[in-house]
Amino acid sequence: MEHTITKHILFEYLNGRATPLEKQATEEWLKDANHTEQFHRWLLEWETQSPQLITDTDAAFRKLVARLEDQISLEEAALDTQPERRITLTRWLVAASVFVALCLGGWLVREPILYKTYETDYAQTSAFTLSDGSHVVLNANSTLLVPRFGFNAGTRQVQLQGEAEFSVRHTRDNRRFVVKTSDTFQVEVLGTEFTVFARSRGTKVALSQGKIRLDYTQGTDKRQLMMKPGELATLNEGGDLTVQLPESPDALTAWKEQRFVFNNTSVQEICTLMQENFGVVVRTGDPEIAARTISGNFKAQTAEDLLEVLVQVLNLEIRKENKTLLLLNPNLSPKS
Amino acid sequence: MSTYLEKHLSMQHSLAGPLQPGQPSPQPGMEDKSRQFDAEVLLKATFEQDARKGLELLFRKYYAPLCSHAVRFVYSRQIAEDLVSEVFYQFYKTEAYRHITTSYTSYLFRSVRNEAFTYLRREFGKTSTLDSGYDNQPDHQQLSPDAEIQYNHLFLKVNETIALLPHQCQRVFLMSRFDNKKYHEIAAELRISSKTVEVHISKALRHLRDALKGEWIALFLLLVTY
Repeated sequence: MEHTITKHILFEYLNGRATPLEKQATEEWLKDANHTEQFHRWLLEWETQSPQLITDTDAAFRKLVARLEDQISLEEAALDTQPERRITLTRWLVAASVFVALCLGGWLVREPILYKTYETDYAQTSAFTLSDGSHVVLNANSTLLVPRFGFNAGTRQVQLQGEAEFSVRHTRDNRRFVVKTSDTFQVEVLGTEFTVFARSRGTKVALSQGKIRLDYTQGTDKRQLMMKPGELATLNEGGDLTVQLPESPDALTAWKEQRFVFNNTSVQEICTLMQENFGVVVRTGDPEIAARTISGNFKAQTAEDLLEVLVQVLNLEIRKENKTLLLLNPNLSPKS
Repeated sequence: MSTYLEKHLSMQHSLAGPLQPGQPSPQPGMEDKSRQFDAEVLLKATFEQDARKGLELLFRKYYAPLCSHAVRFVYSRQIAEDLVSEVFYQFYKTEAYRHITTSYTSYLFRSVRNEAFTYLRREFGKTSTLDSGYDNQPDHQQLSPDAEIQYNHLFLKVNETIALLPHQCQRVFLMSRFDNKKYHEIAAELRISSKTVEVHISKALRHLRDALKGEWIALFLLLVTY
C-alpha cells in the first residue's frame, strides 16, 4: 500500500484535490511513523514550490538576532552577580560589609528612588498635575512625596509635609487617593477638592467639594471621621480632633494667591505663620502684643510685605536681633 | 484550492535556499534524498562548530517555507511570521539543536504545526467544552503520526472555510490578515464603511470558529487517547 504514495499524490492531498481513495491511501501511509520524515521533506518541497507568502527573511533574521542578543546580555548580567565558589573569610567580610553599606546607602537614598519629590521653598507656591490627572497646589515650605512606582495601580498614596490643596481626579476603576501626613493620620479621598495642612503645630484639613474620610489614631484607638464640604477638621498637637464650619472657607486656600486672610487672628499666630511660610523667625516678648488680633485680607508675597502690614495696622516697631525679628510696642520700647 | 490565495498575492518564485545553489529541477528518487541528507550533515557540522552560524543557515533555508505552512493554519501573515520566529528562538535558546533525534526538516515542521495548532485552539477553540483537556499536550517528539493527519485536516478545513466565504467577505478578510491593512484602509480601498469591514471580519471569524468545532473534538480525542 505504502508504495502507491508518490510525491504527486501527497501534493494533491495537501492541495485538497485528492480523490477519496487517494486521501485514504495517503492517510494510511501517514499513520506509519516511519514515513513522517519523508512526509516532512515533501511538505518542505511543497511549501517551497507554492509559497503562500512572500517573506522578508533578512529582516526576520535580524529581528531574531536582536532578540537573542537581548537575551544574552541579560544572562551575562545575571552571571556577573553570581558569587565565586571558593570564598575566604576575608572575602566574606568584605562582601558582607559592602552589602551592609549598599543596604544602608539604598536605605538612605530610598526616598529619591522610590518617590518623586515636589518641594517648595519659603515664600514660594507651586502648582502641578500628577500622572493620574489630579491637581495639586503646594504652599510654601512644603514637601509632597509621590511614589514613582505603582502610583497608577492600586491605591494612590502621597505623603505631605506642609500644606497643599488637592483636586483629585476620579478614576474609572474607583482607585483610592490617600494623603498621609504621619503614621497616625491620613486623609482618604472619596470626592474631590480639599486642603491639607500638616505642620508641627497641628494638622488641618478643609474640604471644599466632595467627600473625604480621615483616618487617625487617638491613643491606641484607630478612628475614622467623614467630612462634609465646607468643614474644617483640626488635629492639635495633643492628638484631639475637632470639626468646625469656618465662616469663610476661602481663607483656608487664600495662600494659593499669596493672600493672607486674618479673622481675629492673634499676632502670636501670625508669627507662627510667618515662620512656616517664609522661614522668618518673628517674636514678641510682650504678651500684650502677642494677644492682639487683626482681621482683614492682605496680599503679601514676602515676609517684609506681611510685616509691613502688621507694623502699619498695629502700630508696632521692628527690631532685628541676630536672625530674629522682634516686634515691639513703640511707646513701651525700652530704648525709645 | 489555494488559487484564490495565489491570486490574492501576486507572487514570484525566489526561494532558493543557500544550501541548494542553482535549485536543480526536482528529481525524484535517491538523488533528491541524498541531497537532502547532505544538507542535514552540513547543518549538523555547522551547529557543532558555531551554533549561531548554524542557526543562520537553518533560518535562511526554512523560514519562508515554514511561514508559508503556518499561514495555512492561522491565516495571518503577522501571526505566521511571529510563530515561526518563536520556533527558531526556542530551538536556539533551549539548545534543542544539540539533542534532536529527527532531521531538522522534521523537527521544524513538527514544531511549527504544533504551534499553529496551539494558536488556533486558543483563538478559535474557546467555545469547546473540552477546552481544559487540551492543556496537557504530549511531548512533541512523541506525537502520534495520527496528529499529522489531524493537523492536515485542520489546515485543509481552514482553507476550505475561507474559500467558501462570500466573495467580498473573503476579500476583506484576506486584506486584513495578509496585507496587514487597517480597517479604515480597507474601507477606503473598497469604498465601504468601516462598520461593514468589521462585520465582514467578524463574520469570517465566526465561520472559522464554527467550522473548526468538529476538529477540536477529533484532536482532543486523539491527544488524550494516545
